[in-house]
Amino acid sequence: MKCKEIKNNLYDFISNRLEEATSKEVEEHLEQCNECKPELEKLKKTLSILDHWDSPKLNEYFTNKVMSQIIDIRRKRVTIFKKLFRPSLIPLEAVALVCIVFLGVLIFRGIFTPKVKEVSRELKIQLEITEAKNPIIIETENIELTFISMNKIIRTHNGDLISSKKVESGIKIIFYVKEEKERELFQDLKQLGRTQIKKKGYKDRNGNIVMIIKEIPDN
Amino acid sequence: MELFRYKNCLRDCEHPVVHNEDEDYKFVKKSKKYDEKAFEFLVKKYQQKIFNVCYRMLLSEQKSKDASQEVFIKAYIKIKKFKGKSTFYTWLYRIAKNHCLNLIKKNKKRKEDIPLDTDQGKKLQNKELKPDELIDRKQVRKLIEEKMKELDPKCRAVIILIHYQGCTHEEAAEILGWPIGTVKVRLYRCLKILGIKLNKAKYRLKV
Repeated sequence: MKCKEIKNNLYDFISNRLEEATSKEVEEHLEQCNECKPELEKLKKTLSILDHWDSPKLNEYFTNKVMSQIIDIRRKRVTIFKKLFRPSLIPLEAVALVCIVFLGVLIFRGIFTPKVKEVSRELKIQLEITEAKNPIIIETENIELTFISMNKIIRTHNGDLISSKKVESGIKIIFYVKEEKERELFQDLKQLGRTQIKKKGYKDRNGNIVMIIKEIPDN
Repeated sequence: MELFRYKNCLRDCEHPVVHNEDEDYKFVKKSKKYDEKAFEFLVKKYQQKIFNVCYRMLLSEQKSKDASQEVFIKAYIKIKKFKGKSTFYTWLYRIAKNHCLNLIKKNKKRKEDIPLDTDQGKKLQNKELKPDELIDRKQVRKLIEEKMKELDPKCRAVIILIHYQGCTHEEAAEILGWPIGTVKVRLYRCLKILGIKLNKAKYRLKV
């Protein structure tokens, strides 16, 4: 072993921590080496001084102090846990009721909103068009002839035919005429057959006139 | 003869301590389930040792009492994280060492020196020792504390763990987080520095 290693092992040598073989090796080196021997003496002297440094003894209350603090910590943890589930100022039932109502609203909205979204654009338009509460009704013997002459009448009053559709009772026509010409048009309609025009409700939301051409019932 | 005296001296001092690891493990396991009685057993078993480390690190009785209380509380809070890779007491020593080093660091930041406990210590600091003056055990204690205070805290920690607590080099390496070789080298160096500081003061010990 070199001097450096011996020096690093000096403490273990003094405190009897070395294995027997190593201890002998160090001892032999120390007998011969003039550099390491004084180091051994110095270290022994230092350690002999250090042995005078004892630390005070703890009193019996120390354990109690520690344990009371630990129990406090434990209690705090438990109370936090309990507080979460303890009925406090607001009763648990009320909280539950609010939660259920809230959930109910969420579910209700969840069920009904998608259906509204599903209604197609066409249907929406149709719904709007058929909004007219009291469409004009004309009863004739020949529906098709009436429909053709109806077209002519609309054109003569500078109107536009928007749509025509076969319905169970006859043909439904939606057309647009300027308001000033409505009266003239209605008078012409009377020539076509029996007409039923009410004062209001023959127009849909867009201001178009809705009319149904029906066949005169046999009876 | 002298060598024999040292061997005896160390045995007569606090350590080496015989740690019963199996027993510790049983109580640690119970403590993990928040069994306070089990933890109390561990506190009782190691309180003096932890206090000794804190006292020699912080060099103040009151501060070290508070510190060792905090060490045990920390241990209780963190006990679930203790996986049993090391022994319980090395784990406890590691907490104590870290706690003390943190306190010393904080103290340094505040630029407060750790005060020596009693007035006697201060007197000793101011008074120059005459050559060959006889000093008693109490004064030696103060002298050692004074010189220890001048040492680097990590240096202090190696000496305390190995010399006073009787830890093996392996245990000290684990507690300090250094390789075993480093522990050996630093122990020798630190003892040498301390020896030079102690031997500068000229006095003779009262036997």
